[in-house]
Amino acid sequence: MSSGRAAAGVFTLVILVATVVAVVIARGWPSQARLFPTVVGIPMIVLLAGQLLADVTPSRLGWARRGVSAGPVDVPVDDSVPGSVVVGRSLAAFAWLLGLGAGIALIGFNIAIPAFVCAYLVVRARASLVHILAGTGFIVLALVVIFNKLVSMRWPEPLFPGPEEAVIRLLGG
Amino acid sequence: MLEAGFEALGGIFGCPCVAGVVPARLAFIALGVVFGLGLGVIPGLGGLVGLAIILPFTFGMDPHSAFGLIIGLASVTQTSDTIPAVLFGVPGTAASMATIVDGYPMSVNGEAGRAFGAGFTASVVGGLFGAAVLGLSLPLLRPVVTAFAAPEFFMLGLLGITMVATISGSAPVKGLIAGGLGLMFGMIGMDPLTGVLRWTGDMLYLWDGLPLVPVALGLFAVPEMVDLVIKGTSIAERDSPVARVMAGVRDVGRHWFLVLRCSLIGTWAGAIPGLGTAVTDWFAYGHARQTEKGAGESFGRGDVRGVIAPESANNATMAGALVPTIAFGVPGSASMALILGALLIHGIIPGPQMLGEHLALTYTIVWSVPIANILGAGLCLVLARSMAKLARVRAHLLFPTVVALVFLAAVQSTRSFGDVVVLLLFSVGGWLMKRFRWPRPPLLLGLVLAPIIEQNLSIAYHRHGLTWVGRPIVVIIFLVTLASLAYALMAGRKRGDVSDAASAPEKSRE
Repeated sequence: MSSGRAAAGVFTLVILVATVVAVVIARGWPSQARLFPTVVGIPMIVLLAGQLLADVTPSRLGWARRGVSAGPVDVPVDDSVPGSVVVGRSLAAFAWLLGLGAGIALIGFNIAIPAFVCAYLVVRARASLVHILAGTGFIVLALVVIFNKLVSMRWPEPLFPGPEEAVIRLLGG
Repeated sequence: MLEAGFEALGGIFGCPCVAGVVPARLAFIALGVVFGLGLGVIPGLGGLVGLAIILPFTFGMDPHSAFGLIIGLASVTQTSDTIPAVLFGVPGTAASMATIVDGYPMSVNGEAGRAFGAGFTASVVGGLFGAAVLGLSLPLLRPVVTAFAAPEFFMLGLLGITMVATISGSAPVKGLIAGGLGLMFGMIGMDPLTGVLRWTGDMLYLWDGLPLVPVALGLFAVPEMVDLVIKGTSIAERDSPVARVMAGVRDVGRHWFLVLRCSLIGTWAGAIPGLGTAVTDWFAYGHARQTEKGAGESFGRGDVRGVIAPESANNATMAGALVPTIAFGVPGSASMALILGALLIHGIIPGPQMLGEHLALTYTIVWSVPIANILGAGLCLVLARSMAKLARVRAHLLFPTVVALVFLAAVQSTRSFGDVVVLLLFSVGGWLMKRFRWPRPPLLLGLVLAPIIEQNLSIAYHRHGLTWVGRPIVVIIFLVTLASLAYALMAGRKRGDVSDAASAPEKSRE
């Protein structure tokens, strides 16, 4: 079995397991509450089982072959980048996103967002000073003018609120 | 009535004037347009936030100027939301999600200018069509709109589900599973009928269900940005010359019948309270995919018709949504509820008075829609070429700014950290779905339709027993649903036969 087919199979298996767990949990609810989840969930389990079979076996069935080789209605995937490179770069990208999420949780939007933009432009993009200042400046302006002044955004409280409160006071929020 | 209509138009273009030159009411419409365009471009903000901001400023204004400002803003957010959808694959508002499917590939193919030209022109035509329907049908639509109750809404939801088959392309099984996943995600939260907490895991954040904005941004926007940095180049490899913008404008002329049909879909869907622009867009897109020649092969790969269809529908929806709001005092969405609030603040009671005592104001509102659409689309077309250049910016320069805006947009839903978690989880899921060739639009459609289908089915049954099945509009929608499903299955079978025939010579060579 190719690694691509194995990965696709694992993805389908995860969805199948999650759906089974969801339907089992729904069995503990009153009948009216569990009716719709059951009506939707059980056919889904059947379809997922069939799709899992198609993913892991070289099936000759037309419907399965179409699902693997033909494109769905969605933004097309660019297959020009080798698989190993895709894995490495995607992990790096999601690591940055997770870092941004963690930063927001720890120190709040008003610090984490400009810090993320600045850090990415410096470290990953290796951008010129002009681009770094322009990118960071644009985001700070958007934060101050649109979200703090205009929308009067009530930010979710981070784990360490002190620094963000100081920044907001400094920016006249 | 005609006299009142022309009088209102004269009031918009006549004095009193600002600085003795610009008619005051027209100036307020233009101000609303500029503000609305800016809001539509920034993901997560949109018309509702804009209306909430400007509403207090209108208290002291005369009603005609106030509603010029309000309608000017509300009419154009769904024009400028095309910009991030086409350029970055980021929906500016819920109304531009369907535009991404063909708009973003057009940008990748160096045709961002053409997508803008087509999108903005289709938007203005849709807005004009909706305004015409609004102006002509206000006295006539009451029996039609009030005929729609829970059974009809349930059937409309089922019709939406058949769109899943249509927008699954040639991956129907994966599409149905994705649609089912969307339905299940839509059921998360407190069941409004029984009060049971479904799949909330004791988290207060999930009591109201999964918010649409972080889910949509996670499914579409972030995976596109991640794929962009994986590719490592700019979105488009080549420039989009100004001639391509005009080619997009000509495309709308060439596909005028598609524009008319989708504008009609948008107007009617907007006139039905509670359906929403997110669903209307997919109706229009699905309809175009089912009916346009060759759409089965080309949609999803940068077909301009895939931009024209949703864009003409979503601007028409806004005008259609004004019908129940003004004529019956029934707002179909949160934005319409704010507009209703503005009417009440100015001492105007929606209903028969709008066609009697306040006829002049009604026609000011009606005229404001097309004027705002023309101003908004005109401004966007002038700036289209400059905006298209953003598609040539290097991936690593765009990524942090766009991602930052996406995170800021996501948190607008509930203003809690849960929005960030939902965004991150659906980003991973959406990227994996794209990589493993699972269609994402059906999941979003299922999420939006789940409450419509479940709640209305239950209300229909408890209110009418099983007699609702025989209601005339229910039967009509059911027949349309069957026809839609049959067409989608037959078209899918035909595409499968064609691809089988195409691959047969390869198999025989093996």
